Amino acid sequence: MATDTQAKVQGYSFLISETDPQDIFIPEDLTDEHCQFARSADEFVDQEIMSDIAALEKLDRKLLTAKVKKAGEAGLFMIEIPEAYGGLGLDLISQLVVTERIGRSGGFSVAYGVQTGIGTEPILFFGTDEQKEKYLPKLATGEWIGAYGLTEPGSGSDALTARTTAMLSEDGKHYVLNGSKCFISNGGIADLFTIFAQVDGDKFTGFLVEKDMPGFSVGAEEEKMGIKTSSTTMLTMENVKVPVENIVGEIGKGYKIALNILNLGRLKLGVGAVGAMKDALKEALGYGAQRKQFQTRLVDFPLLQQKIARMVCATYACESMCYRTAGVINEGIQEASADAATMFDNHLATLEEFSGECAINKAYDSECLDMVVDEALQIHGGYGFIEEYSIARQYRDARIARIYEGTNEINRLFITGNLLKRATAGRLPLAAEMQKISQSALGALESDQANDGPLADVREAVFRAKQLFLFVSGVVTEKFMSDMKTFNSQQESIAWLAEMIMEIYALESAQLRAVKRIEADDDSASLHEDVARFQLAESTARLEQNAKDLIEGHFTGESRDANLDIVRQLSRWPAANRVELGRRLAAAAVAAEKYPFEVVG
Amino acid sequence: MRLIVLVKQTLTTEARIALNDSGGIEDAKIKKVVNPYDEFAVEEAVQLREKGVAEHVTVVTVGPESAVEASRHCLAMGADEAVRIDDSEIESTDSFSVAEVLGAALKGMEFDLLLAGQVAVDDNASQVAVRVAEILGLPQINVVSKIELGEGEVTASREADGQTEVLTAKLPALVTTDKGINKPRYPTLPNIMKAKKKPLTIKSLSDLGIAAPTPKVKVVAHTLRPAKQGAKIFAGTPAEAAAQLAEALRNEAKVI
Amino acid sequence: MSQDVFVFIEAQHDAIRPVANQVVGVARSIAEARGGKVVGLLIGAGLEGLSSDAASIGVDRLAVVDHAALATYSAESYTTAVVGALEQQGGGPLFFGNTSIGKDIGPRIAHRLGQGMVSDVVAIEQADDKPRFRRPIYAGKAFCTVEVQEAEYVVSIRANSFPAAEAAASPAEVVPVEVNLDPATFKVQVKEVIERDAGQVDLTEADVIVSGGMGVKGPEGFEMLKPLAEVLGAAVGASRAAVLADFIHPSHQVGQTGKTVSPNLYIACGISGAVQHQAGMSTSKCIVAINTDADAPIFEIADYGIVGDAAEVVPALTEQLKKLLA
Repeated sequence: MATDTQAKVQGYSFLISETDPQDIFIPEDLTDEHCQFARSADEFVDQEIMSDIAALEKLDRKLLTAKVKKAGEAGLFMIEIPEAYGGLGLDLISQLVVTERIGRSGGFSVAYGVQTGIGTEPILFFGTDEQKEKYLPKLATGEWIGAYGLTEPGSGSDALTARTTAMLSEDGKHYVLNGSKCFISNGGIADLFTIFAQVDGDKFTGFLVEKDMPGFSVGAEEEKMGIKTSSTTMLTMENVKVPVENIVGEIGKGYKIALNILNLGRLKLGVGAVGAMKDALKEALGYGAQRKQFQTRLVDFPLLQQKIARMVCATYACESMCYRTAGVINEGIQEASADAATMFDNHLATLEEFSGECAINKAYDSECLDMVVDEALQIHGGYGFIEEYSIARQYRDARIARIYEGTNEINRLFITGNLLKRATAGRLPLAAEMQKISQSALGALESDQANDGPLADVREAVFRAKQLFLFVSGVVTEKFMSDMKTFNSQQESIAWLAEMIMEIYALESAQLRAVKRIEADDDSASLHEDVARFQLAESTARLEQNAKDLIEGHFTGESRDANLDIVRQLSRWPAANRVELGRRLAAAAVAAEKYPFEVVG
Repeated sequence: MRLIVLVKQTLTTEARIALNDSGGIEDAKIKKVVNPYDEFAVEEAVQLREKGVAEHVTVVTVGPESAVEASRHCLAMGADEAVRIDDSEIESTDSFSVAEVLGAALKGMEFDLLLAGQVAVDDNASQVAVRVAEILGLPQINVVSKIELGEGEVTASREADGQTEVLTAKLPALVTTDKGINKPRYPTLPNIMKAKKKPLTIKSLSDLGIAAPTPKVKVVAHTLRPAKQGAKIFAGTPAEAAAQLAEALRNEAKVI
Repeated sequence: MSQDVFVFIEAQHDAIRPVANQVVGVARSIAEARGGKVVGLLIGAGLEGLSSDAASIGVDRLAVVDHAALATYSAESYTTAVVGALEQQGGGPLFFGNTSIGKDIGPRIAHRLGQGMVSDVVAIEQADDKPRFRRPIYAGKAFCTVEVQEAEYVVSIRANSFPAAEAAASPAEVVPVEVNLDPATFKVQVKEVIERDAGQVDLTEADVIVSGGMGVKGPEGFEMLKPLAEVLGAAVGASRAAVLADFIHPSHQVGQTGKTVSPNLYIACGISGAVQHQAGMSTSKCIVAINTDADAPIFEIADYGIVGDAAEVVPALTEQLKKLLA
């Protein structure tokens, strides 16, 4: 396994190479300016959203629209839009810190995410200059609200099979759209929709549809179990005449928009989940410090401290992954920006390169969020179940994250499928690394890094976790990779492999960040060490389980025994005492009264 | 018309106060903000400029390097220019020293109205701004809830014990702001970006041509408020218990 | 320089303010340590009546600046008057109440005299040599001890933090002081003085809050709280349960989903003190709980408690306070 210091970081390359901690972007690397943006977004959420949350949760379109406009006034939509189109042209990291802060605003974060993501990016990345000039300045200020119509009653995860049709008018000036879309976020408040429809029956194409175009109508609000602040409606199009100049991208290439836009959306969803995790943790800590049972504060009970530690640790791992991913993508985007002509194409290429990591952030972070809000609610006891405390809302709001932007199941299939596809196409020397493992005498397997330095044993464990993945994925995929038909019938295995990939990325990101902080002589270096070890304990247990399930699923008899033996040999982890580590992490969180690794004060 | 606002960086009011090993207030890792009362003053100044009554707003702060965040915050709120005077050479808990330094700095600056918060939430002293006014021979209107700038004069409503006084002062003058006068804006992203291009000057005492003033008072110890022990219960008939309670509120707790 | 200690005797509505008696008490302990006298400074116009009152509050000598230009308070004229009187009387430490006038002119006088000032003092830790005073900081979450470095200084004291001085057996000598004041040179004009409406006090800004819960048993229970609130100049608060039960308008709600308050005194009447209520008021300086249930959580965070029915205790407390504050 190579030490990936000089080589350019590629999508999934973390699985087959080691990373120098100094090469990753971590939250502690945020600039003063990033922190100022974060604080600004925080103020917005406190002053505009939380102060009105009761009214907003009753879904008042007028009020929601007013709040979206306020966010526009605060410049929160301008981050990624170039200055030439009324934006601020800031980096991806800026967008991430702001999205994280908005993440705690529940349903409003959906309105925000749609506006800055799928509401704007189709035009930003695929629009003509005229479309950009016409729409981006309005979207940047919030004068117009954007939305995105992909899902239909008959197509969800298989979105490209949409039935909405677009027929060219006789004069060749319009396309006439017919069909309906469902679960459209911002549907009830948007002015501009990117609608996907089939041209000539099978050419999947994006159209920019304005709400006032005759024949376009917005349905009633869905009654949702969470994110109640947000607007979610059906859209119906009956002979809507859309000018040909409103085609976004190329005819028949709508899939490019639909798929590419998702990547960044998934990363943003991940970081939004991090914001929501921090918020739920803060609620739990606040409640737990005040509430006494048996004359003892809840936060002083070790059993609840273990919960707090898990919440802190999950937040740390997710946060580390998000900013690490954003760091490499941002670098790619900055390089791409050097040449204006190819800029957006290169942006997309960068996003495609790291689409696996984006999907990891989406699935892993949203599941961690569910764990965090669940435990935060549990700490509230009976009070968690009544509406006076915000944790009930936070609990409900979290649930959608596992569903939209591609269900976590779709993301699992994508994470592994995409990896194997790249390996097959020769983009990533995965097969060679798999072979090395099966050929190696297991005892001799060591990382080629010096066996010292901070958290060297955890680094070695990460190395071993990758070996475990390479071994298991090698022997298992050998059995089903040859035939796509068989591949598609192996969904359990594909998902378990995806879980191993996610777990490795999470564990390694936490470990790298901790080492980088220890090397920086951070005065909370020992806490970073604790959290990395706690994550080790969490991750390795799950990795082993996945590895065993994969072997059991594909082997019997002697080959099963032999493979499980290798799994056991590879599963040698350094000591990680969750009792002590957990108590220390919890103590730090209780003292800070919030996520103890928060960078932005 | 030019305005100057005196601002101080303080710990956030939500901070849990603790003592450090050397017996001082532990401020590491605690969020620092612009003193909320000073924020009212900055907001008022920016509004006056937006109304076209004033042309230029400068914020002046005395503080350590980290106080530059306060300066930037004010610039992002809309102030045009910021000056930070480094406090490393002076006794920053001595209002006399801070006022002398500010007085020296302001003597070299042109302004019509000086604004400041009526109190800083950290030291709760309410001294510096008034001392600066004395140094510069400015009239003052303290603790105000409303400001109107007129030709060569400022009219403001001062919240005094039990009464509101409407006062008019000749410019240049000092006005200190109370809570409720406005709702300070938060810096928006575009304004944060604009603020980066605004002048932010750092001055040392030698730049001002003065030596460090000799402090008139010194803080020699800090103590924390003792934790609550559970209620003292008064027994007896309602009248008896009420009498004891009233007595305790008056003479023990001293809250009435 | 004399050994004497000076006191600014503040009057309002033609009466000496109670805080002035307390300031005299503080000045007395400093004067004793210095071996000097306590000199009162009375400033204003038409002071014949007030002078005799002020001469009896425990000062050794009373310096009076009686000038038509001082009829209405202004920082400008009062600063000049106090400094003039102080200097003519030999100078020395000067004590104020930390009232709005004390805050307004204290620092101004201190600077004119080139002196240090300690504001809002709640205790004297050392009276002789270099005196040390304790004062609250960070909204009362902590205190600092301040040592004055020079023999002359200014101090303002927090009201109700010190006992009042013993009244003098016989009135002190009254010394009229002439101070040169020319209204034509004044830079501040008082346009209007509006007596503040004594009615509604805003909840979040109130110094005292009287709050009711289910234990007051109905809207009429809140009517019963009003006289108590009036005596204390307090705002009326409520628990969420009381608001949900329509006892009182939701704008009065204190707690997690209501307002967060931090008054000097919070009197919880018939409130059990569920965590969500505590979230909105636990930082109050002094908390009083009145509740029938001795195990109610409110007693854990309260400073004082009475176990009893609010309907009986509140009227009794109102009566007692009326007497005490009369």
